[in-house]
Amino acid sequence: MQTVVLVLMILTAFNFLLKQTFHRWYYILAVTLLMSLFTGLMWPAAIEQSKSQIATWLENSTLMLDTSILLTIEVFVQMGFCLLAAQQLTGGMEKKSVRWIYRVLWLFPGILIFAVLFSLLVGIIFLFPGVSFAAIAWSLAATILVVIPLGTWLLGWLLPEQEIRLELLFLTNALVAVLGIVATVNGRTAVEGFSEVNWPALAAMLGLLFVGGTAGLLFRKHTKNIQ
Amino acid sequence: MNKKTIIALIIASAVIIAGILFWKTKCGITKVAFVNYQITTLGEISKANHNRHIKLAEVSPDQFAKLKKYDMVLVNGMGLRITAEQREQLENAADKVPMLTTAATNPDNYIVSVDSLSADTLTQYLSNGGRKNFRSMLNYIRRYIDRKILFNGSIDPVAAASHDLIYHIDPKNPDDEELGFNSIEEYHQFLKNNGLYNEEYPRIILTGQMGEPTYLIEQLEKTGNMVYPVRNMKMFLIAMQAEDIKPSAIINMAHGRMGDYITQFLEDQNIPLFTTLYVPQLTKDWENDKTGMSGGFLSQSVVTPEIDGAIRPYVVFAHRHNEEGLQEVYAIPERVKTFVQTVNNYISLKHKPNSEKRVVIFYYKGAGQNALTASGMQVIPSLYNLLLRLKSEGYKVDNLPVSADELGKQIQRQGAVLGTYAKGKLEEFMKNGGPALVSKEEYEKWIKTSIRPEKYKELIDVNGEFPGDYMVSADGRLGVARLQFGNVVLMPQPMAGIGENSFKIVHGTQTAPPHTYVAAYLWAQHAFHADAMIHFGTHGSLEFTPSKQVALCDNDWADRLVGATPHFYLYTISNVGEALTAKRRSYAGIQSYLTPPFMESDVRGQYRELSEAVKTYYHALENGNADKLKQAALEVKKHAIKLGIHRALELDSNMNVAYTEDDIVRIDNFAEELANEKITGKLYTLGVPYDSKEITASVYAMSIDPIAYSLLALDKQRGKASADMEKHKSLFTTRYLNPAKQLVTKLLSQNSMPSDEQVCQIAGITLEELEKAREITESQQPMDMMSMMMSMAQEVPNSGSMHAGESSSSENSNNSSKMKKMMQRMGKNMSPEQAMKMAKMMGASPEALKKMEAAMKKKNGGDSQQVAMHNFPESEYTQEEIAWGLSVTEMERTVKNVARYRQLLQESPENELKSLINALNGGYTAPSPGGDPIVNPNTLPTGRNLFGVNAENTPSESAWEKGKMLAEQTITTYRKRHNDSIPRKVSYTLWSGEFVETEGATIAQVLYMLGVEPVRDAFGRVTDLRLIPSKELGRPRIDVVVQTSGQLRDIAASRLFLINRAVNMAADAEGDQYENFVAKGVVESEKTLINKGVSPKEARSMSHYRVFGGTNGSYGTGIQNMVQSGDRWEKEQEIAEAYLNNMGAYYGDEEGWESMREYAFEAALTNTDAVVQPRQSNTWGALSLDHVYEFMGGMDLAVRNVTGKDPDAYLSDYRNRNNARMQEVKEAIHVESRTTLFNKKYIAEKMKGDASDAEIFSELVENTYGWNVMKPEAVDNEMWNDIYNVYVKDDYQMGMRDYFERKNPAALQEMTAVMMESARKGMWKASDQQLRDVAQLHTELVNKYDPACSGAVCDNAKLRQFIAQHANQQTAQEYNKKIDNIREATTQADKKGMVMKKETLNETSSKKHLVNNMLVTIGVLAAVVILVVLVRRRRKNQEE
Repeated sequence: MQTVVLVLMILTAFNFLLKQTFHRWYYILAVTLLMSLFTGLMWPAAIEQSKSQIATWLENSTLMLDTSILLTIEVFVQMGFCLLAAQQLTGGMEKKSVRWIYRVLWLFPGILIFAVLFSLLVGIIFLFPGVSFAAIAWSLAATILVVIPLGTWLLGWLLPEQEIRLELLFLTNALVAVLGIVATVNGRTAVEGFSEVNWPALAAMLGLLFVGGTAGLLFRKHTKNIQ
Repeated sequence: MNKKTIIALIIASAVIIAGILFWKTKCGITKVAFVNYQITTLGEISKANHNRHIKLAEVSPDQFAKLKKYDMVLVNGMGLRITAEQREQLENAADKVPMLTTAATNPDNYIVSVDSLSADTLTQYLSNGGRKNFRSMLNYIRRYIDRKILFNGSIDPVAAASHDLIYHIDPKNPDDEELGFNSIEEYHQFLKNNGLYNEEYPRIILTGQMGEPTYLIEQLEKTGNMVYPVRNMKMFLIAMQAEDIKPSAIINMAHGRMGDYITQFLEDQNIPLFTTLYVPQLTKDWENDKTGMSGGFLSQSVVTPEIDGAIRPYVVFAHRHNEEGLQEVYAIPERVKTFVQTVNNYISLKHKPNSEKRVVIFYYKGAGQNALTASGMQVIPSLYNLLLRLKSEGYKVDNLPVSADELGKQIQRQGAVLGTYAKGKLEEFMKNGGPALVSKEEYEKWIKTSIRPEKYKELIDVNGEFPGDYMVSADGRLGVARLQFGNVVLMPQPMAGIGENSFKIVHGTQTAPPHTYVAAYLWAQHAFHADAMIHFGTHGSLEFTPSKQVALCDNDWADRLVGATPHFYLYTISNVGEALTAKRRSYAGIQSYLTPPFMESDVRGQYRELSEAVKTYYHALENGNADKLKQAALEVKKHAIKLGIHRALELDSNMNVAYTEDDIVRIDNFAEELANEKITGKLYTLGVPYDSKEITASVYAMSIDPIAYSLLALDKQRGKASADMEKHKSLFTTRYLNPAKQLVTKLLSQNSMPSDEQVCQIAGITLEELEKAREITESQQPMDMMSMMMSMAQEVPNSGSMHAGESSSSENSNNSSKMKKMMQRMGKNMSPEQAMKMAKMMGASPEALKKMEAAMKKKNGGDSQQVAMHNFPESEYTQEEIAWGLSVTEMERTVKNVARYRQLLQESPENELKSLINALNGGYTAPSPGGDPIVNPNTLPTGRNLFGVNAENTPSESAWEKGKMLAEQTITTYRKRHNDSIPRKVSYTLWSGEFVETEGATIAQVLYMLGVEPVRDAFGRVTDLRLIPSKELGRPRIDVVVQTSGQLRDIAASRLFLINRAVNMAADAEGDQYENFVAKGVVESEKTLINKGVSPKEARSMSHYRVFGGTNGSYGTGIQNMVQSGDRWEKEQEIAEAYLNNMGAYYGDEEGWESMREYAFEAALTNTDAVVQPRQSNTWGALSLDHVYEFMGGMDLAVRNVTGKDPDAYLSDYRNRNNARMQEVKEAIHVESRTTLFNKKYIAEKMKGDASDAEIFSELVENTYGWNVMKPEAVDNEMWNDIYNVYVKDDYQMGMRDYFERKNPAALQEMTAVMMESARKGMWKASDQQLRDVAQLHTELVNKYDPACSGAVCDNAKLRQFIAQHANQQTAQEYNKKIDNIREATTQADKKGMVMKKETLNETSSKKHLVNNMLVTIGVLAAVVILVVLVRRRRKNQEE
């Protein structure tokens, strides 16, 4: 379970960086500052977390289910951005309201990244007993100040084409969605045992697969039509 | 808005602001802050304040930041204890707010920022006291200091303090100030006028200041007493010839000592001195407070009054909110009622004929057939002697058995204590044992009188509705075991806990005691109507019942179960630490009794060949012949191996390699130690003096060492002995011990006390030198200055004022020299003005003051210290001079007292009985220090009431030196054993006995390990600490963990806080030259805690935790029973877990007091390399006292389970006050076993005794088993074989079996059961034959005498099966049948340990996750990078 969550966090961080590549430097600077400040200021809460508590959370299937809702919303939002961005790239965005939605989605930095940063802060505090909590937090904040612009630039340099980045963002988000389901179902089946089939979870997963698949097909069709 | 309007508005605003400012500065409220004022004084000042524009507030040191808000700050400097930071805050506040400090006992606290005129005036108002003066003082402050122009009250001139010696509220005008009287006649007239005089009434003197006595006086008078409320006790005695009053008792509302004069008065009058306690808290807060009282307040309210011989420290006064919402002192009505009843009960003992007095005597007895036990005492003969004495004193003692043996048998029949598992036996006892049967109605009636409903609910929650399921008769009544002999009843102390937590029977329970326990005490109070209660011997369980540590309330079981009954406790002189618990937690008047006699071990003969071989070796060493040296070394080795000494010292047994010189010195010392070890003879019998040989042997034990070590010290100073002479024990024996013994022999045959000339001759000094040595020693005498000051302050000229501290110098002539010395110490760094004030305050005469002033003028306002020196000459001595002086006087004292020691030992037994009888007659028991007579000869004569030390003064200066030396020794020993590496962390067990007797030497060890030293104030109190600079320390700071016993926690909480502060200081030390293991240890603890699942925030605060003790205020570790019940655990880890949980409560600060934080103890123990346990008594050792393996062994086992490494284990041996040292525990166990368990002389001595002596052997074997579990390397297979050979095979041919069968077959049953259990658990690798022999002996004893029925014999199913397997079939069958009969309905052998449930996070799996997660992280990141790279490559390819 911890592993799945860890992969999810890495992917979320990657997605976040990838999304920054769609922005100008001042936006990146603002978001970096926001993330940095968040990290620096959150230490009083971070030091209240404990390994046993985190382990309990991860074993709490209800909580994981609730978290997965948040994860799903985030994924849908980011995927929506990808779809609309693709539409924008192809110049097919005419409606004002859609343009507004696109702008909002474009500006939205994501929510999960905050959880990831918080978790990172907690993990690093665990690793450095005896060191001032504030010093750890602000050192991490300083690192973030460097890592986000650098990572964004690196990704932009590696993948100069916006379309490819967009595609990658969509795909990694899809991966996040799948892992989110795994995390949720895993959490519950671990408790209830393998002999039972979790029908609602299975149905939810199939539903999501269907929605994702349909969306992919539609997108593909739409792109082809444009071409 | 036009311009005019704006201007008008501005002007109006300015006028309003100016008006407000004017009002505020000239007419507003005057706020006066009081710092460190007693609530009683504040109450008086508050009552005096009639001005609504003057507001008073009390400000505590932690609120000093707020002082700037006030208009005037008054500080009572007496006993003000503040940190350097708080002092700085106070000084800063004084720059802005007028401040006046009065009675500053610490010159640094003398902070004054008002002009001298105001200061003098205010001081006079304060020192003269009285409401009129207080009122004027407040008005003066408002008018002249706060400079208010309106609402100022009248300011009258200072009214001279009234010097009335007796005061009393005018019954007709109770709200007025008290009336004063200066003659007995005048006072008697007043009493007559108010109908309070009756010639027949007992007369009670009430003195002291800590309380609001009006209601107490009223209640005492209402219950038929004449009360003499006295302001100044000493003056009262001098001026009024108080002995003519013929008082029956004195009640002291105490704060500090009264002084030696009072003990003399009490002895002359033979009357008791009671202490009422005042708790500076709201009643509810105090009732909920787990400690009750601690720190300096505890010292002044309880500890120092005990030195006067005070008894029953009983809370009578607390705080409540008055109508204005302010706190005020009041007498708690229900407490007053019980206290007054108590006093009346004691007084009635004086008048009631002995024939009518009803006495209940509680004894302590193990379960089943086990003997009655009391530390160092043969209980049955002692009890019998007391009964005989009572009879001869006219008590109604009917049907007394013809002999002690008969009494013993009767007690086994009627006064039994039975385990819950012995259901068959219980049933039989209820039918034939003749217990008192208590019906539900009776019981509930008593409960209603004595126990609060919420406490009764607690009782029922734990034990079920009356009568529960233990000691119940067929018709549902509760049985109370007792033997009644006329008006004297003997009662076994029932088990304080039954069922699952049976261990807690002896040392504290966490919940209510069972119905039988409560019923026994209530039966004594309400059915038997006992006039007095006696607990017979050290010790029972009453004083360990929940819950408050001192200053008990109505919710504490002991408080309720003793009630108002006069209570006396026969207590061994050698256990002062626990005696204090009995005094304070069960209101017992201690009656000390002797230890068993001391004698030499007489094992020298066994080591003669070895000694010869060692001598040959030393000779060869001097001659320098290598071959001969090797041969001699091998010869030593041969003998050492033959005697098994190599096992004790962990030396090899390879005969091809010779031992080194160091090894041979160790062997020599070990053999010499065995030869010189002091052992105890047969247990002491109350009222029976030792025989003449025993007395002589004991006098030798008391005298030889002090003389020998003093002479050695003198020789060292003269350069006649090498610095490490005492380390070569055989040489030391030859040159010093043997001559000292001859000297003592000579002195014993001499009829007169040795003259000074004789002393000089022995010491090799002149008479002048002897005189000088006396002077030096006198100058080094410690004194409790704080207590003395409080005592002086107590003698105030008027009520409500304790500021004056002035008492005329004539009154304090006895103290004058000490006061002069204190002046000198306090004079340091003082300005001349301060010095003058201080001198005045200390009671210097006008002449002395004039001289001082003149001297200061002469010196042109120079160094006040020099001025002080001029007036109070003092010569400073060098360390060498002090050491020399102390050696000479130690020698002189011992030499002159040899004959006296003999006399005191002869007289003590009679003195004990006399003293107890006198106490039963309402008389006074003189106070005495504690400790066995070897450690402290001043404990003789016995039959006295023990007192402790003032914890605030510890570690004393000598204890600090001793502690430093032992800490260094610990490090040196560790280095030797571990390739010169230094221990990173040392865990200490602290006990109360050692703390009291050494004045805190173990605390000194702890502090010195940390590299922190005590800082003393002018009174010698250790109130602060200082980091020893790393360079000066010359080694790393070593981390510590402290495990406190419940008894130490109760008497010295402030010292635990001190240790906690020291840990924090050491952890934060910066710029050290050497490593800081404390800082590292804290980080390591934090890491452990985080890995255990504690949040970093909590982990950080808990990582500094180093002081731990029993959970829920308990007194034991809770593992002893678990260890002994071998069928209830399989792996030692289970015991370690129980130990960590049961001893993991934090006691390092007030806020976290008694808090149980999971994993904190475990985390603190990480990296522990050594454990240390104190040993201060010659009456017990690691093997003979179960608590040593329980505490030290428990710690050792816990450390082993936490760190995976067995730590070194050392004893801090304080038994020889001239030669304290560290000793490895394995070595100590070997020394003790060779001088006791396997020593013919010891066995023969004990065989002279009765059942209690026989029980000693079974205790030794049980404790051997205990050590084997806790520290397997300390006990080897040979030891078990030796036990088998001596006690089963009777190798010494002493008739062991016959002896045990005659005296105590239960003891041999227990021993053989424990041996079999050791074998069953694989600790003793016994042969089949050995097992068959032991099992056969055990089963035959059980079959012949019935099962014993202790836990080992009757309540270990696996063991019983194992025993039956090894006995022959026929015996085994009968054995099983016998056990079944006793148990009848067998209880299931379930887990009975008291492991508290705990949540566990598996550290291993957590680490595994960490590794996996790191791999996953790397893998995922790599995958993302690869993905990106692939995409980029594809793009490039497309581009191409």
